[in-house]
Amino acid sequence: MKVCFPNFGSLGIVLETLCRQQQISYVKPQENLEEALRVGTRLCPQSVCLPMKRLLGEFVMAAQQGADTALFLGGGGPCRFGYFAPMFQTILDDEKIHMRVWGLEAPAGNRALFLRDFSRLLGVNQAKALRLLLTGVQTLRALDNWEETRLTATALLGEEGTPPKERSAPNMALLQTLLAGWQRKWRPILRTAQKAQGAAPLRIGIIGDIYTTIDPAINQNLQLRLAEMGAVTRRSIRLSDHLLHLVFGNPRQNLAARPYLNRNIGGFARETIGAGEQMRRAGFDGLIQVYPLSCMPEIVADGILTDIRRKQGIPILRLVLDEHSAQAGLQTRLEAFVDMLKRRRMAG
Amino acid sequence: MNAYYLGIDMGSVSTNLVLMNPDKTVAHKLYLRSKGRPVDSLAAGFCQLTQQVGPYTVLGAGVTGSGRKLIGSLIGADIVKNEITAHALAAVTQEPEVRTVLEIGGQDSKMIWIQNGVVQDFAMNTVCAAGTGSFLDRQAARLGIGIEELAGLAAASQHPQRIAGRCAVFAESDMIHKQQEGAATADILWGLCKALVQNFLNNLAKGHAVKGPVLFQGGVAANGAMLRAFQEELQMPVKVPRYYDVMGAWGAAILAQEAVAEQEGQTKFHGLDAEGPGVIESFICTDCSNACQIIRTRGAVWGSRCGKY
Repeated sequence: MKVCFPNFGSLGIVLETLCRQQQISYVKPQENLEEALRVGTRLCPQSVCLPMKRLLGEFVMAAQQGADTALFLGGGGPCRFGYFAPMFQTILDDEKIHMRVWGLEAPAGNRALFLRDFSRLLGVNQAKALRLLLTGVQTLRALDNWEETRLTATALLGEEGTPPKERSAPNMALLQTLLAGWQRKWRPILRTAQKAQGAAPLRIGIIGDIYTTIDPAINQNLQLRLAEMGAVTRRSIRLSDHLLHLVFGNPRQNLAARPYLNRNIGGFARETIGAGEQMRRAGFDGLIQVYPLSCMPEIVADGILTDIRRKQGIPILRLVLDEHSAQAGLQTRLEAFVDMLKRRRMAG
Repeated sequence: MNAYYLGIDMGSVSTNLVLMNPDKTVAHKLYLRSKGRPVDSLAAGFCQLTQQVGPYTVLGAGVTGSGRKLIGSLIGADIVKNEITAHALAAVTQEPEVRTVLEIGGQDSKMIWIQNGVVQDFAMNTVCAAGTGSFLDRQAARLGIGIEELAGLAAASQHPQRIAGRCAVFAESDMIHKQQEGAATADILWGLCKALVQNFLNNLAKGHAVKGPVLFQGGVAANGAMLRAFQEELQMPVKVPRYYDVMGAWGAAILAQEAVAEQEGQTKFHGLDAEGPGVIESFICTDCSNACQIIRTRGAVWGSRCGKY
């Protein structure tokens, strides 16, 4: 067995470390976004969203390097995201590419079945599989926290002040130790920097579909661009929290969304609304909603956000992403948005 | 010798230059088609401006528009700013009470909401460029009429045709079908303008109240039919400011004045080199598989995804 996994924010680093630790052979995900999109676009249905095109492209390219098992973080329905795994499998079978697609998801909410499959994949017993799973989530959390610290450092200290980027380690425990050490060093530096600046930096909430908000290559380094303009950002979805919410739910966020949307309509619509409303109450200066063209749940959320903006007066910028690769358009919108938030603050 | 603040709007379709007096009034303006070569058209613009105005001193320079980064680094701009801020600033200078700005440029369209002179919100078209100036240009060309004649022709329309305005590709096939069915050109054109305005408002206004005074600016504001369609759809007066076609450049000049004041009156402007485009070089970075195209000018370098350049 040789596994592959997609570029998916920090998930790739955790899966790579897990494979190393368990001595499972793996193929690193394709870095070249344009090449993956070229391959994926050729094989996918024309009207499907950007995430599916890129993921499929990455799997096909990994198969050319000998991978026979594809791991990815699957989604629940009721939107088409819930069918990504079977669709990948069908397309790969049609193309005579021998690869088993393995969605890291609980089939119909059956957690026991999930654990059984996960332990088979790793070739360990179920107790060990559960321990690895928990360590994985902890490691993801450390990575998520580190990413936030890094971006805040860029916002406060500029490019020169940015701390090192995360990287993979021989095992997950070592990776956690490394990141914890960095955090201890950098947190006080940032506190001092913030005090020295006087005025609090702009705070912008990034809400929307999981893949386009999380992966910097897909959203053209959205959070880094904002950090370079001096804005501190928070995302509605952090992978580590998301995995915990899958098991334990997120009642507080659902409550915030409730006046606007009281059920799961698929994808991340409820998360977008709930987190957006929570961020607004927390005094964020503005929100940016990001989603791939043709994403149904986010289109619904878009309409609801209009209502929130109208009633509450918080500025919301929409970014709809597709295969565009030029950066000038995105940069213009972000600059204008940050500029507007600054001037609004000055005007009181 | 006269001294002015220079504002440049390096747009996708046009290159606009404004020379502004220190009292923020426009002294001279120039609107040129870019023809896909930004540096060449800027050089041509500088030449024409000197011919019009005679020798002049630049007190400060600001650049906006989609080509702002490139041009800003080439000429030593005092400030490089996005189009939203520039357009809003010019609109407020022209009409301090303005509440809504409609702007249609070559490749993008925007709506800006202003209160007490501060931008409250804006919206800009996202995935596609349907309904922008370049589409109107193309349709006029396809029908064999000059873009300047479009408004006059549309005014003669008695029974406007309904044209699908959501997508430019759909709109074009709809127009072709209507024309093959025998609809009059005037009716098709007026129908197209109405469809574009409806699409603009559906896409951008999205539940925002449109309050007056409303300003309509950008190159497309020259088109009387589009203005009439906006007035009919919004059911309120829409004003086209005197310098509608160079509002971005004017805003850039105002921003330059602010920036130079902060730099204690010193401008960084040095103009274009005699060798012109020769100072730009580009290469493909081969450090990773992304293979980004890197652009380098004398003053700056950009283009990498990873942030190396």
